[in-house]
Amino acid sequence: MNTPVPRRAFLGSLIGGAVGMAMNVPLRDDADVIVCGGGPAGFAAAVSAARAGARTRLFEMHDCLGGVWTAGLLTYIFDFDKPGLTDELKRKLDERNARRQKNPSRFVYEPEAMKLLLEEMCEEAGVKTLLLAPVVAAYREGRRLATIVTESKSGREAWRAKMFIDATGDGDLGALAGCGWDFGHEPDCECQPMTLNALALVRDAAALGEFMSFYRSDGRHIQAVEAFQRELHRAGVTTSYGHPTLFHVRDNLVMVMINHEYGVKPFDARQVTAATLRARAEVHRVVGALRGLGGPWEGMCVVASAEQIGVRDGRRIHGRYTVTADDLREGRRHADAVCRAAFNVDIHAATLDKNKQETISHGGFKTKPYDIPLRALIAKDVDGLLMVGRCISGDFIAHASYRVTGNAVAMGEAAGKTAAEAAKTGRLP
Amino acid sequence: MNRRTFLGSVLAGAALGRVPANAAGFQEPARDLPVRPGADVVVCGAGPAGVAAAISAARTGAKTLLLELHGCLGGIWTTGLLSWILDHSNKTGLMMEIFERLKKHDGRSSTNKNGYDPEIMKLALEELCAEAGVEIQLFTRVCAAQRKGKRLSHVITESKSGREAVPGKVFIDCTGDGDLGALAGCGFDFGHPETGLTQPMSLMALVSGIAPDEVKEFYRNDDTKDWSSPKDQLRAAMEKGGHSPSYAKPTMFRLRDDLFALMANHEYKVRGTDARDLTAATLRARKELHLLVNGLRSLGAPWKNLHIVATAAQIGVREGRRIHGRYTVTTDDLREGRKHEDAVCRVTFNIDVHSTDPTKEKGIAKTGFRAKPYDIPLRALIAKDVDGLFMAGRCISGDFIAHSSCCVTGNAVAMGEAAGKAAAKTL
Repeated sequence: MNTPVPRRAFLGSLIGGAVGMAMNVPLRDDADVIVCGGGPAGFAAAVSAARAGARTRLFEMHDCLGGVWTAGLLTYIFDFDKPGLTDELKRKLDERNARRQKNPSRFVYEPEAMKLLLEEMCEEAGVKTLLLAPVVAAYREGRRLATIVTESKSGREAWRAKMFIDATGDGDLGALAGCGWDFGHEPDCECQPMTLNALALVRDAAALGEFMSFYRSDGRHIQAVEAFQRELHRAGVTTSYGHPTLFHVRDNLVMVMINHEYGVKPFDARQVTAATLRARAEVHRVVGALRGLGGPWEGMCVVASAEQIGVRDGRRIHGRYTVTADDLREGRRHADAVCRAAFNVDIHAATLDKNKQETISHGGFKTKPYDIPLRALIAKDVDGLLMVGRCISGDFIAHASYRVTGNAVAMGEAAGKTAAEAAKTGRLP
Repeated sequence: MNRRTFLGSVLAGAALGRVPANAAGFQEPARDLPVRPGADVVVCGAGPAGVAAAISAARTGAKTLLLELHGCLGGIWTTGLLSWILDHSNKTGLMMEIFERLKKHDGRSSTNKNGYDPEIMKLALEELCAEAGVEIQLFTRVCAAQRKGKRLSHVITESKSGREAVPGKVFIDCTGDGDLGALAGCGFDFGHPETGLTQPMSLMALVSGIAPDEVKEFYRNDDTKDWSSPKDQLRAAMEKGGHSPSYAKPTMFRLRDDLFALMANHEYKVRGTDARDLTAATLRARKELHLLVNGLRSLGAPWKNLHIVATAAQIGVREGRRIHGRYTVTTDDLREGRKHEDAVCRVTFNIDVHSTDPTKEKGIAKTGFRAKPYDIPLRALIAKDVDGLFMAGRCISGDFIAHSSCCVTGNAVAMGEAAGKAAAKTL
């Protein structure tokens, strides 16, 4: 902790790199499994790899674990009726009284309690976590991924492992490693919008019960959205998201989801910046207008807009199997299933115009519960690399179903175990 | 977009196979870097100093780019949930404008002239930057710097857009930790001159669920005469709840209604320039804040519904590198209340060294004298070893004791404002 900063060596290497010389980067080779991204999928992958005995390192770009659950303030979880880690999370959240509007497959949770829980579970499992440390480069030896590089306050560092898991959501690691990938809806590359969520304090949550999804009864979502829309109309505001939604988080704390940012590529920092700034302005404008209505809305204020705008569509890294719309239509099963997804196709409109006609499309069919096979989690073009969460191998329509976070946890859990086993036995999955 | 590349230069991100690793390190091959459209003035870091620098440079007529690591503007004010601005009352200019904008959005504390709502601060700063025509890029880390001779010419960034070179005519290091100055090759000092230790870090939290009238003795209003009593009472309550806070002077600030900021944590002997220290400190601190709040809640009324709304997205770092400038603000300047012709602001805040050693003290360390109001000269904001580089905020040129006084955020804004204007005028 108190070792002097090795200033000269550190500076020499970085300046050298920028000027054009190759860089010598400090290297650590002490992990069996490296997981990039600490969201729901990455957390699960890291815990499950570590519990299976692998020396596991987890790199996260934000300051906390949980990704869209915490940095993104999602607060609402879907497709969570599964065994294993999903079940354990529900139990442990309940021990902390951090769940509301409980239904076997979906519920509200407190994002701040979630941060602490995930961090404690990783620590207990022996995961070595580094926060504020995004992966920025990846190097192969032949076809095999061998080394990744992070940038953090410690500068540029290289890390080796036997197996790697891409849990970045956007498929950053797969792309850096040279995998093929798809994005959006072929061939016109439309993609689902991003959403900036926010927490707000209200004076009396019960007085807003009519407008909060699942608050008065388990099935009451659309009626609550419609009632909320009428209030927004009365306040003279329209929202970029056609299904404006409120969730009750606890006591006087609610989550406000009213925003859609259209046509934004998650791997373009300028577009993501512009979307974040527009979205925050909208959230404040809308909450300000509601406050102006007085009555139950009096005193309502945004207390935290999310640190990270929520990204629905990112890169879908090519795997050995591609989950397709037909799999959902037919409810296809696989011998190497890692999880059974039950969530309906849920395509948020790609443009503001489409949002006016149909905010959320279900792809024209009802999903039958279907399996995600391990093969969809194994990179096709690069060895030693698994994907979990949003960036697994699938088509646009299928992704719009399996992308929700209950499936991300189940995928992470399976990939973590698989990676640990691969590292132990020296066999590639 | 200008996709000109550095010829023969710099760093691969895409996989280029068969790179041997060895015990000494990992050899990353050279690669071309895309050059993103640059600016006259490139400000690195969008905390209080950086936002002020960018707005002021843009208003002076410079095409200005503001790069920020996190997902919003404001740094310690917003990402760090500081909620409290020190040494602002004698400041005019941008500091006043920021307060006016906060007020317009009902974002000033109802009970404390220093307090503000961090979420409203995000909005206020984003509005002011947009109006001034500042280009903002969030989620972007400054990772390297390139010079032509002594003159800084580019910063190299990593973001979701990958690794890019950003050209600029003048740069301002507002990273807090002095990242840019260090990367550019400036000399710097770090920590206490004898021990090398820095002041502790603090993770802030927003809490809610308490009736302000029922917890009056635990927080300070502007009309509270005895400042230490609320802290002592809060500590006693926390100890009754089962945990003695690592910061011995735990503080609650009322921001609005039943929204309070809580400052109760000290993380000792950790460096803001070390990712492992930052991670360990953040994880420990979050655990402690939950322990403290759960302990208070277990006491029943008035705490029975107390809950954490959000812990900060960045632990608060008091000290980082102090980049060598053409002038160094020293302890003697404070003792004598030294004035300068090239003053950029007058500091009225006293020395405030949070203890570096918890075995001796978990609050504020004692110092021998009281600072007299003194000036920060522009020279302390101009890098000595590198041309085309200003500093503003925590990373200016000064000694350990001077920094504990001069670098609170009211002064950071004034420094940023001056540096931005000076940078634009050099063009």
